[in-house]
Amino acid sequence: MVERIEFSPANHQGQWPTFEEVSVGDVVVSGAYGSVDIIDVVRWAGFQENYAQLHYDREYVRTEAGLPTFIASGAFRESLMVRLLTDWMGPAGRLAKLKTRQTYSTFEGDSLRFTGRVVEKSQNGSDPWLVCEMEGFNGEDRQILQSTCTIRLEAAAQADPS
Amino acid sequence: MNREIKMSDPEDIIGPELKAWIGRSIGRIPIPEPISGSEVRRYMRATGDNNPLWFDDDFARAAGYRGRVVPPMVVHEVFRRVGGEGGEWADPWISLPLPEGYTDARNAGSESEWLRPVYLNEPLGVECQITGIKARQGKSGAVTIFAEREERLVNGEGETVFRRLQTMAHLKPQPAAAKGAA
Repeated sequence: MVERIEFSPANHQGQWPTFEEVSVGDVVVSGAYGSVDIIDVVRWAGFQENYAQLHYDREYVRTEAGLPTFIASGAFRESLMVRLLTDWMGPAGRLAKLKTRQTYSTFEGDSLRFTGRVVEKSQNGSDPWLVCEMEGFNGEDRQILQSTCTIRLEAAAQADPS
Repeated sequence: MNREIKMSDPEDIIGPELKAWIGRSIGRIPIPEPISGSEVRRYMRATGDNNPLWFDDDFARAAGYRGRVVPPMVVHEVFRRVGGEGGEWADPWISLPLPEGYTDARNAGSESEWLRPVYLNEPLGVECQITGIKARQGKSGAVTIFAEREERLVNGEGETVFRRLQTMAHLKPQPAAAKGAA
């Protein structure tokens, strides 16, 4: 089952990064999850309302899709990655854009690891965006996805522009 | 004598019936019910994402929000409610008139943009349009059909709060063998 990482403000002791502190090249995400099992994918299918058998039915995928076992939903993998990112950025951060290319499937039993670093930063503190490049890997270090994320690190009380 | 073997263009697989789907849209369909706290809880149980911004009104207000916000990846998946299995809008999602044998589909990638925070119990509507259908031949010689759609999530004030360009790869299943591509 994917590892449940505990989050609480106390864990962070209020030490989330500010826009000024972050530099191009900084590692923003480096986290691993345990192997994906059927409980993980069924929980996700129930949340997502995605009942495609590709994601939980071993017999179906063997006979109909020619795969050795079921594969995790791409959005599930993205969510595990985004979760690491939103934990890192804290309450003043906001995910603005996410571009993902799914490059290889995650099969039952595969573990997941994500890394990411800042590749670009706004020069204007009143428009505080960062671009991060992220990658996901399986337990054999084969890349499973590639993402580019734009996040905003606003000062508190400016998160909601409405 | 050497004879050049000319491969046909992979795009030939996209016939006029399939091509005619490019540009089709669904208008605006209200989601059946607003996003609820129980849904966010189910998301948390699936991902372990227990960020207090999603669960604690006071914490979220201190960060400048009106109250607890819907996690970005929950917003990302709202489209399933109208486009998934049994949804009001089934066709462009799962029933493209694909060539015979193209029974397998995978998420090939997406480009998403969150424009405004989404709060629990906000009325939302979905708009979607098929924007492109392409074919590409892989190293194995198999031709994959890529269908792109643009999806928008609109709030009660008519503001677009989220948009996404989604690419689905449609494949012919291969014989059971090694692990497949994403």
